Amino acid sequence: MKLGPTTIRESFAEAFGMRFTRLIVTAHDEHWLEAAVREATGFATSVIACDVEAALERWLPTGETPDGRLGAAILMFGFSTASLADSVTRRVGQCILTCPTTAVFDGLPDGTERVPLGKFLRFFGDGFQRSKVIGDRRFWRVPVMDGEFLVEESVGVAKGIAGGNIILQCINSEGALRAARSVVDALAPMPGVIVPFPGGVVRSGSKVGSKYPKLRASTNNAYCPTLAGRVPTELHPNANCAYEVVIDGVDEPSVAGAMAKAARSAAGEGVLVIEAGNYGGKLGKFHFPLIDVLERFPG
Amino acid sequence: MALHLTTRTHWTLPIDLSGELPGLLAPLSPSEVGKRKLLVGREQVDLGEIFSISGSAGDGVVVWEGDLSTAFGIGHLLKEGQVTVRGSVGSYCGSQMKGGSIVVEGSAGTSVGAAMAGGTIHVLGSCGNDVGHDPRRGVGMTGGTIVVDGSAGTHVGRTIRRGTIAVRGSVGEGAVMDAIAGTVIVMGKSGRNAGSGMRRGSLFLLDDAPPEILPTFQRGRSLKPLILSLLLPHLASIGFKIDPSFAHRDMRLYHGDMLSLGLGEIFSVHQGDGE
Amino acid sequence: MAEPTIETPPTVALTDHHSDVVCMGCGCLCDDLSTQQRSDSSSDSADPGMLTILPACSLAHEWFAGLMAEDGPACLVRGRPVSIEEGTAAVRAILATAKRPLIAGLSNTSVEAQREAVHLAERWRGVLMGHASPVAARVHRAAQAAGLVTSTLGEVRQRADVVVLWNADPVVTHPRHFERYSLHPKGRFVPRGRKDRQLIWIGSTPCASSELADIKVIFAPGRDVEALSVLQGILNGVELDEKMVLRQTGVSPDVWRDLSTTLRQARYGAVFYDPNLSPESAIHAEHDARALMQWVTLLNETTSFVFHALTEGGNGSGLEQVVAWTTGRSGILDFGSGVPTVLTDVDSAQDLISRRSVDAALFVSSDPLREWEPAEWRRLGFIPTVVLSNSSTATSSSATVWFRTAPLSYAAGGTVFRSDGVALRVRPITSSALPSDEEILRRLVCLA
Ligand code: SF4
Repeated sequence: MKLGPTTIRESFAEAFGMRFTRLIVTAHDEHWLEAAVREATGFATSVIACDVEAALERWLPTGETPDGRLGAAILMFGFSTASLADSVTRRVGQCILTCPTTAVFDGLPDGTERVPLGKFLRFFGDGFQRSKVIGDRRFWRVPVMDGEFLVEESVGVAKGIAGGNIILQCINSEGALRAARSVVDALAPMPGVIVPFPGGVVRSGSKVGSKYPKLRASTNNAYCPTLAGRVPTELHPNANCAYEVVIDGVDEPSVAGAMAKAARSAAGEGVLVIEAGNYGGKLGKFHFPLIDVLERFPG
Repeated sequence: MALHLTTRTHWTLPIDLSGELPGLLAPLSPSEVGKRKLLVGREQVDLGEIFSISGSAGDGVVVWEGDLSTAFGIGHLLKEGQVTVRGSVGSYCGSQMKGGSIVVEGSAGTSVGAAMAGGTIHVLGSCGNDVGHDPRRGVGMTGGTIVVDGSAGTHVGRTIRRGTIAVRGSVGEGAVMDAIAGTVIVMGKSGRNAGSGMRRGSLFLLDDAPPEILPTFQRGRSLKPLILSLLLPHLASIGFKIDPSFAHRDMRLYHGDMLSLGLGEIFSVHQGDGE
Repeated sequence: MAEPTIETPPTVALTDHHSDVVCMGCGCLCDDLSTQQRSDSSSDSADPGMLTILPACSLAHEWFAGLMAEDGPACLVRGRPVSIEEGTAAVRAILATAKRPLIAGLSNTSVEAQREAVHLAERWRGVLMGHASPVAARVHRAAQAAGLVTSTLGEVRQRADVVVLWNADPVVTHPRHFERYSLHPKGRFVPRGRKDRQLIWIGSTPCASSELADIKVIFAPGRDVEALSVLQGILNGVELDEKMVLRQTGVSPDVWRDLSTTLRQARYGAVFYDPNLSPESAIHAEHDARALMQWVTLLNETTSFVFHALTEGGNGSGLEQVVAWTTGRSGILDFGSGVPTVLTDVDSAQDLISRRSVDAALFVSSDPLREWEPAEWRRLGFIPTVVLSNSSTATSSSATVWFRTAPLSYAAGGTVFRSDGVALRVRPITSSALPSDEEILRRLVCLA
């Protein structure tokens, strides 16, 4: 299949079932909001070595936040509800509670499970914390040096999918960067998905295992241009640079939709091949055949 | 199609309506509704003798109309459904309700929403004493929301444990007295002795006049009560609109009552005398 | 101490002498009076001049004067003299047709009569006015919410070395209070009487009693709750804003602190408060009483203190007791459903009648119309009323059925309760052919 000059290679993305939560963070202004989001989603690219995969889902205008201030929705994906619970509390406690003017709310009230957030963080108030129940939601007010940190008692957790992806093979690095960024820009406003790697893009695509027994993952040598010729390669003969965009989403359609949108926005001059990465299909429960996905979500 | 019950004449003796809940009336035909017994003074009277009946409560909606100022206990123990009163109603409206909603288009007597645990009550007129409080048992509300467009009498939210009360007009003396927690918002003037004995909980005084604060409350600093920004939309959803800018205004905080636990707070838009 | 001198009529040929007579002229309920009836007077003379009361007390005179049994038919139905049987039958007819009868005005009769009245209310599923006045009801409610540390007045007499009067003027309202209970008696732990006691007066309007006080604190009118908050705050170690204290109470914090120190040094303190004196509304009485009770409770952390309300005369205390032990409730009770329910949206019989929320009324030994506005009189005219009283009053003369009963303590006996819960036996000082309230009420109950 072709999208303009770009070949869509028949391939599938292999994705995994994960647990996720959505936090709504608000702050006095953009500056502090960005600071909080940046911190809270730091060191959260891949669960290979991070506790969660997290990123900004989208910015929220004042009309869409519970307290009427500027806000952001963050998605966090973890292996289990328990590990997610631990990470959410730590991250909010260290990165948002600490950030001037912020407040945190549950962005997933319909989640199938709930994990504590304010329920634990309130103890920072050392007995001076107060709670308020509004409707059927409980909030905690923790006294801090600029007033109060407002945080919801608990946040919802639901089943999500991590590991949707596309790989771009390009003629040169300039074209590859341009294409990768247009993918990220296209996905930014989409609800329900995040791209957790730096700037949304990963250059160190990995394979399972390594010659070193302790290492669970190592570089995906079949896609490294510098190794083409030495080892069997998956790269197009003219490709000198490849990037991967990994997509985590709240459900199957949002991951599939995001993959389709990603491929469409990447395709064009300088992009030789777009495909989806997998590990042979045995590890992940969810398979997203790229061509299939593109047909399901026509431009 | 709601069930409409309209008083036939003017009543001065109290009518006990505490048993007439939408859920109970829903499966009944008008003639069955008319045969229900109501306690008037000490007599059992057919409902149909007092009220003319039309429609059905199949949709969970009951509308009371006419002269109901002596009818007490409307919506007592309400769990679901909607009760509307076209006019004024007597005491204990919505007492101990657990859910559902009540709208009183006139005024209400004493102990509106006494010890209620959930649901919403909207009184378009004014309320008597003891809003949310049941003086018979000394118990306050444990959940739910009461909004009053008019004013309210003494002891609004006395011994409240949870839940929210908002009053657009003024309130009498002893608001949130002996509160255990919970939230009360007063947009008009508040009488003296507010918050006396409160352990936790919040009283918001949104009137510009200087408030009367007991000497056992300690004057704190000023802050923007962000929590209001969550409360106001909740109140608006019941039909009680407050200018959202209140949530972003600096308010003076008073802590108390130091004679009890002292974790309660009074927020006042009036800044008080500074140092 | 010298007795206040009161003009007493010359006693001529004293024949009928009684001792340990109970006076219900004020909340003191003195049970140590002697009365002497002059021989030339008939037993049911209406002339108070015929009775000599010792020790003399102006209020007692007034009270006994109001009791002098009147002559006349024992029962009138619509102004027509009838037999008591016919009268009770008429009452039965009224109660049987009423949908919500009111039984009220019970605070001037014996507990025996009060008990019958409760039975009557229960039998006819009526409304029972279970307290003496809205103020009494509010003070009762305050005690229920705040808890009450109290004692008998005898204990005060034997022990109290510090007596605090809070907005109270017993010299005028309870003339023999100082003499019998609070100031002058030589007690076991205060052997020198007045010399061993400190009298502290705290209030807003100086009065005859404040003149006698050793320490006086005068605070801004109506600021009782604020003043008591300050006093509690001091005991609790709360940091108080000095300026705020001065502004709200009109008294400097140092004065309140010194006062607290004095009180803490008491071995046994007694606080007397008159709820009928200061508040503009019953709600104020409740708030003031609540704060006082809490304050007294706090004082008990370091020493002994008791609280007493100075009540009005009569047997309001007995009424509260009777209602409590027969129904387990207090206040205005509605027996309409068969189970006594406390009415919290009305304060008084007047409320119920002006809203026409009752359709018949029975008043026992009281004259509510005396205090009511003429407009309410007319309202009362709409419903049949039954009145038990001795003298003809506005209420009795407009009654559908009026039983003339023997007045308690003058011509009828029974039991009454003093405000501290001590029961007193009342014996009549004269005999009367008229039945007592109790007898009529029992007949009405039996008839039912
Ligand atoms: S003090 Fe009161 S009870 Fe005692 S004699 Fe005088 S009026 Fe009677």
